[in-house]
Amino acid sequence: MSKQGSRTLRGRRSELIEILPRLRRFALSLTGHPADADDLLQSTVERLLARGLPDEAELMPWSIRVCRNIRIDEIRASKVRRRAGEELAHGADRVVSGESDTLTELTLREVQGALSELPEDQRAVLELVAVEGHSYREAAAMLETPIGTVMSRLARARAALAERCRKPAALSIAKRKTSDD
Amino acid sequence: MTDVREDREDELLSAYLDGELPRAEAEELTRRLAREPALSERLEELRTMNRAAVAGFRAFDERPMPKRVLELLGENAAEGTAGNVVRFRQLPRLGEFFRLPVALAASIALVAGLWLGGLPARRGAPDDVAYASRIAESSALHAAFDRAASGEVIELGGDRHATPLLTFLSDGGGWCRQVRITGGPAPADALACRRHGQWQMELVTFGAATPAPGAGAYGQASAGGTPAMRAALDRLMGREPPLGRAEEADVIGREWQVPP
Repeated sequence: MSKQGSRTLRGRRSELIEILPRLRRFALSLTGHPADADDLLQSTVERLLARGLPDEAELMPWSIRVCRNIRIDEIRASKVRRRAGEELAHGADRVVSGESDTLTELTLREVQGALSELPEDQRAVLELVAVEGHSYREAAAMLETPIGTVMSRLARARAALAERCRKPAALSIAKRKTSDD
Repeated sequence: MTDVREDREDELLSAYLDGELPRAEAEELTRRLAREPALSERLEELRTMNRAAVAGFRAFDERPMPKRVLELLGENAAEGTAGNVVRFRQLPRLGEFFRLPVALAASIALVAGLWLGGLPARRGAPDDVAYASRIAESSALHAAFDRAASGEVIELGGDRHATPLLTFLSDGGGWCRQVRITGGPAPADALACRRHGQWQMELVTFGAATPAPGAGAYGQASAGGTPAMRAALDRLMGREPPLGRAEEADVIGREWQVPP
């Protein structure tokens, strides 16, 4: 990147700070693991600071693309660390079920566990559209993929979450815990 | 073949949720939803999972931003919560507060058309957590919404308490209540409305701006809370003012019958 680009970003550091939480959630959508997401966030910020922002680029879409490219590089280089036992879940205790036969009590941990099982591309588009509120067109541009692909990935992600969270396993675990109590 | 059809319908429903369907297709789907219960149940299931996913992602904000990243960005960032530079919300552990009941298809009572008719798809707002969930009737939180008077303190267990603040008739004709939950890592405000005889959570916000009223204090004046909650109240509240104590007691006594 040019020095001009670099200067541009230095002048926009406060904007970069503002988008950090969103960028971090996107990193999480790619990695599925909080610690890996933070590593990816750091790499992304380092690259943005080092290489700057093209004058014509908007900060958030550009940052998303940088983040995604770094992730792709990491996967290619097989440098992604896997942290056994650590998924998206982080501290939300399981809430015991048993209130209704017709309802599955779904805890945040279970949702996060289901999210972590989604394919990376589905999780990424779900994060951009459902969490960050981007349009399909915006998400498609950031992910450099056709709008139709965004649409189908979103549908598959939601359907997969519904399928996973409908499984009786979560309920049976909760009931086991109830009986343990 | 069936799978292909179901995949296509999921795509339609998913795009419908996101407000991405062309108008004509959205209208046609709305009509189908009104006459096809299985389709509307599927829509509700996808909507519920979508909101649960949003909550799942947003809970990540609870983790402190890595110091090494903040240091890369200079001294302002190192303060983290300074001013409006960046706000790292201290979300409570959601799982400790609420359950996210996912209604199985057969138990979903909502008719999607009633929910979606004319309403734009809700995007992920930055500061709130939306739940498309029914509040379990056997829960203490349900008791707070269903039976407690405003200002009355209901024990939720684990040193947590719920206090109704506000009761009003929504623009859509259903009763809604705002309840403040205290005693966790951060106060939370929950807004729920009655639909089809059940309390449905509309919104949960954290870090309420105003303190919860003490026991017995009629809390109407202190309602409001975060900007997201105020916006939701503005959106939902009809022309009628919130109920006074006597009116509220009467409505609770009549088991939330809606006036003709």
